[in-house]
Amino acid sequence: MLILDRISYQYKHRSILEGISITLAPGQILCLSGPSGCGKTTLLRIAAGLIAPSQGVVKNKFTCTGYVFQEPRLLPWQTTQENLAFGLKAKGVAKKERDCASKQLAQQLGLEQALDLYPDRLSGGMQQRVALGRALAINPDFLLLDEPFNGLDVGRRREFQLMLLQLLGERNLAACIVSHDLAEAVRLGDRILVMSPAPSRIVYQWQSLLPPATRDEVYIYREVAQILALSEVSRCFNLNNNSSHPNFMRS
Amino acid sequence: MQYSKVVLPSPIETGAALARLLTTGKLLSAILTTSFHLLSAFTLAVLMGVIFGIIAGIQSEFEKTIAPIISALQGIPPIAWIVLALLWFGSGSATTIFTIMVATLPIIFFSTVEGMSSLPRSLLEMARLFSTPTSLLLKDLYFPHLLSYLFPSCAAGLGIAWRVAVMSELLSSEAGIGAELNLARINLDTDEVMAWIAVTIALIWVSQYLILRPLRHLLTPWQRI
Repeated sequence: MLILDRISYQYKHRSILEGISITLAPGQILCLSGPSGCGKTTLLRIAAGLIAPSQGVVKNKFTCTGYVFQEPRLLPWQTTQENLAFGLKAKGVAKKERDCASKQLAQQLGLEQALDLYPDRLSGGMQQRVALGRALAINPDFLLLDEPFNGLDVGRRREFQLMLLQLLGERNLAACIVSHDLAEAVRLGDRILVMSPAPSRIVYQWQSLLPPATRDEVYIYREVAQILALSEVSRCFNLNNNSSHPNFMRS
Repeated sequence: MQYSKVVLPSPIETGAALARLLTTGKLLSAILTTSFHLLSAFTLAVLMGVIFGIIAGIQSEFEKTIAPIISALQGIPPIAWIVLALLWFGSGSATTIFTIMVATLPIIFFSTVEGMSSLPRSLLEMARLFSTPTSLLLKDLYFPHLLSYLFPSCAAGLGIAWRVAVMSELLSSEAGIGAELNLARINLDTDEVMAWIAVTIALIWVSQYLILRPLRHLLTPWQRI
């Protein structure tokens, strides 16, 4: 269980987060959505213990937490196999066991052919899969993902999303996923928290009525339309002001 | 227009001098002596430069103390070091080894400090999330990153080392390429002088292309193009 209680965060006298409270139960997938720069990543970093909040309390009662960064952050001098096993090596797991675990993960993530390749030989999507595998290798019960599908084309994005859902389901992992794409959040999350621009607060909370596997495109886009129709959400994404910039569309 | 052999020997005359040096055994003996001076000194410089550089990279206070000293060492011309070393160690191998070491140490030290401080913070943060122990941080993050900085500086350092080795032997030693060069100068054997210059250039090439480059490929395979 993760409990963030009245979290506030200031950076250089500027308020980034204000009084954010979140509870995440085991096995639940939570998506944090909101406009770019609203502090989603900051909140995720606070949840991971990478930075301390200015006010509020973080209680992470999960036994092992994995983190997938927005950029893959692979070690350029290590092969896919070594990168996958990095977390296990840090935990002191023996090489034989590490190799076995990384090969198994590579199979699940479709990276069998890339085990001996260095990161610069991998595509963006493959690199991100290695980063996901590295986080999963340590057998976490809670996974934090910061816009993990960034920079992927629509096909790769969908493929990666399905793979992630499958892996989270198989392992019954709790996850907190940052995404500025509401359709993606509706596709993946059991719950979505929409955050306002900084100083960020939670302005809206969405709860899914369907399990992820049964959410089709019609359901997803209908839900997104309904969420965006809410004035507090559309204000967050600055959708109400579009009419004041008509010159982009004219001529 | 033809120059006298004493002013500018032809390539044929230089080649003949080289063959003479080879048959008398002088060539091999001088190469071995200079290589011994160079390898001992350069190994010491790399060891000291890397060790001090790693400590300076981790401890900023140590870096603030030692960097100006090594900077000052770098500013002293090698010829001045030779004079000092002659006073301290007398003529012989010790003077040559000391001079080469002190001339190449700064370049290795500063590239190590740069390598240590330029490791991306994003990778360190990733490692921190896995509670990576310091020994593994050094082995799997700092050291490989450092290697990519060290090889270019080693290449530059080796070039300096060969030049300083020959100069130092010329002034302070009775053996080695520099000493033989000095003897040839005294005897006005310009063709032999040219032969020794050619040998020095060949040795620089060998060390760069036949030793350092394959070593780089072996130790930093991720940088292969």
